[in-house]
Amino acid sequence: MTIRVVVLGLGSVGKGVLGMIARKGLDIIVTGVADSKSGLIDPLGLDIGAVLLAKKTGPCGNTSLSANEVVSRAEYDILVEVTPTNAGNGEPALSYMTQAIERGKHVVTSNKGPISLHLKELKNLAREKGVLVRYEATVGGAIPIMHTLGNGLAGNKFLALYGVLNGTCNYILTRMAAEGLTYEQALAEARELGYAEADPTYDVKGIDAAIKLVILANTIWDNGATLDRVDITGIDLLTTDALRLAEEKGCTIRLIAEAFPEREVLRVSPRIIRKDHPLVFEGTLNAITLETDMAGEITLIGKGAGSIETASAIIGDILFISSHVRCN
Amino acid sequence: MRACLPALPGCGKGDSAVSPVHVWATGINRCAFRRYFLPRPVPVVIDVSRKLTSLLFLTCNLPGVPADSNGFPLFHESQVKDLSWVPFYVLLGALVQVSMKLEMKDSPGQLVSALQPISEVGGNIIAVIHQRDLSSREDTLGVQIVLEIAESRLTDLVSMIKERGVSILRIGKDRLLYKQTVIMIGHLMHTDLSDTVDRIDCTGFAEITALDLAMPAINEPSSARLTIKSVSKNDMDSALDILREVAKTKKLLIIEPLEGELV
Repeated sequence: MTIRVVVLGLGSVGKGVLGMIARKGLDIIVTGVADSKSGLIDPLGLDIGAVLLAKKTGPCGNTSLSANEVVSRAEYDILVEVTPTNAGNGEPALSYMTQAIERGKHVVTSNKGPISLHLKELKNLAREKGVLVRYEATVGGAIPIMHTLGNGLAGNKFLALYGVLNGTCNYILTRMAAEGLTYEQALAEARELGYAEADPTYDVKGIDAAIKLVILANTIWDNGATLDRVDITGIDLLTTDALRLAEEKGCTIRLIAEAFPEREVLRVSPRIIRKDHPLVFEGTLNAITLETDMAGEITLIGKGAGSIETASAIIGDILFISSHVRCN
Repeated sequence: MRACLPALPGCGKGDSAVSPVHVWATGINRCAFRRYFLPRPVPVVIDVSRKLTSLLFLTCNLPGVPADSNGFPLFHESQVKDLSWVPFYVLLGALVQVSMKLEMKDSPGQLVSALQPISEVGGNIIAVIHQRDLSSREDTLGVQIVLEIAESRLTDLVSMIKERGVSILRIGKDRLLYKQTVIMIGHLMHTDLSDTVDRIDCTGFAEITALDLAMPAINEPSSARLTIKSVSKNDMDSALDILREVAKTKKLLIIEPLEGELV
């Protein structure tokens, strides 16, 4: 059975998803796309190569067709929502998703805003409409954390969670420790390499990691976690000396997101950590350690960002829904 | 808080008809006592929540025995060997905290057996830390303990532990067994670093034992690595609470180790 998807958002993630769908022959066709200025619909499947080519020079499609119209008029099974994140109110992504679910369409998203703010509402609505909402790509890039939580570790009780959830911070800390760079120098380098945004506030202040922690906490414990309940300290005040002082003790400093449900602790902060600890690695990788009652301790490490890596998580979700639909 | 005096050799059973003697005292949990009695033992409960009264020692009625300001008689064990005809209490001496490294056979019951003499001499166990790496051989178990004991009873305790086939590898007064490292960043000198250190040192249960400071330039934030040592894990938690509070008021960034990890 061929699965039909509509892709909203043609930034780096959207392009990665389209490129992989075109290249890999996964029995997925794209019946609609939209970027911020235009849209395209073809019930028989769009020519992905042509869409990506058009996107190089301007809008991907017809400027008279909005994303809203694509969501409400196209024929598809799954909405792939990969527009930019709005952590404030989750819009307009939230409306696109709600609209698709109302139409009985499944949703796959990489969008942290709506998922961190309205996961429960989206899941309830989806249950009511008999569809699925999957959001593997929101946390940990290519790491299959949601599949692990929902399938591989199903039935376990989760006692604690530790994670390195922001690759930008991990890169900056790695460079400060390895080369003795100042925070400013390491940040400038990260920007040059495309690891940090022009405005790195969300990353370096720990907010991005905290949003991901909220998504994980709500997924695992359904505890109504919100961003304002996370105790957040960023890395922007760290000094090279501090990293050296840690180094002298066989340790380093990493930005760690932690959750201890029994004490209601949700925290993102730089921590001193032994260099041989599984959560210490170089570069932009992400990692999540879960403490469970049956499986014990499990650490997943992988690429936390990137166009193709995020596409991996999105395609994993699409194919999960595809096989789920087939089973039912 | 209630503390029972230790049972002493010779303390017979079958005295349930005798009412317990209640001892109301304050601050005496820092001292150790030995109870002497004849013709029969009297169960004793010390209630340290009440004020010390001279009530207890009136029964001793020992003329010429010096007493402290509370009417508490002060004399040494050696002075009272022949005064065993009446229940009374002898101050054994101020308690000291001692740490011991023990090595024993890694078999069931060994640890309990090794620790038993501590309560027999009226000692108080504060911390027991298993140290697998301490053991030279696989079939032995290394344990570090911190205990509170009357100084005069220490020799007895050592021989009692040895009698049970347990080796004492080391004995010392380095009671601060828990070590934790934190890093602080900010204007450490301008916010009175020595006061920051004092706030921990003055607790009595934790100390800053090392401090490494890096000051890059005037007006730039400096960084310091502080090594904190404490008697127990709870004390470490309390010390860190104090430090967090200090950091908050002085606007310093405090970086702690990953939870549950001793660094």
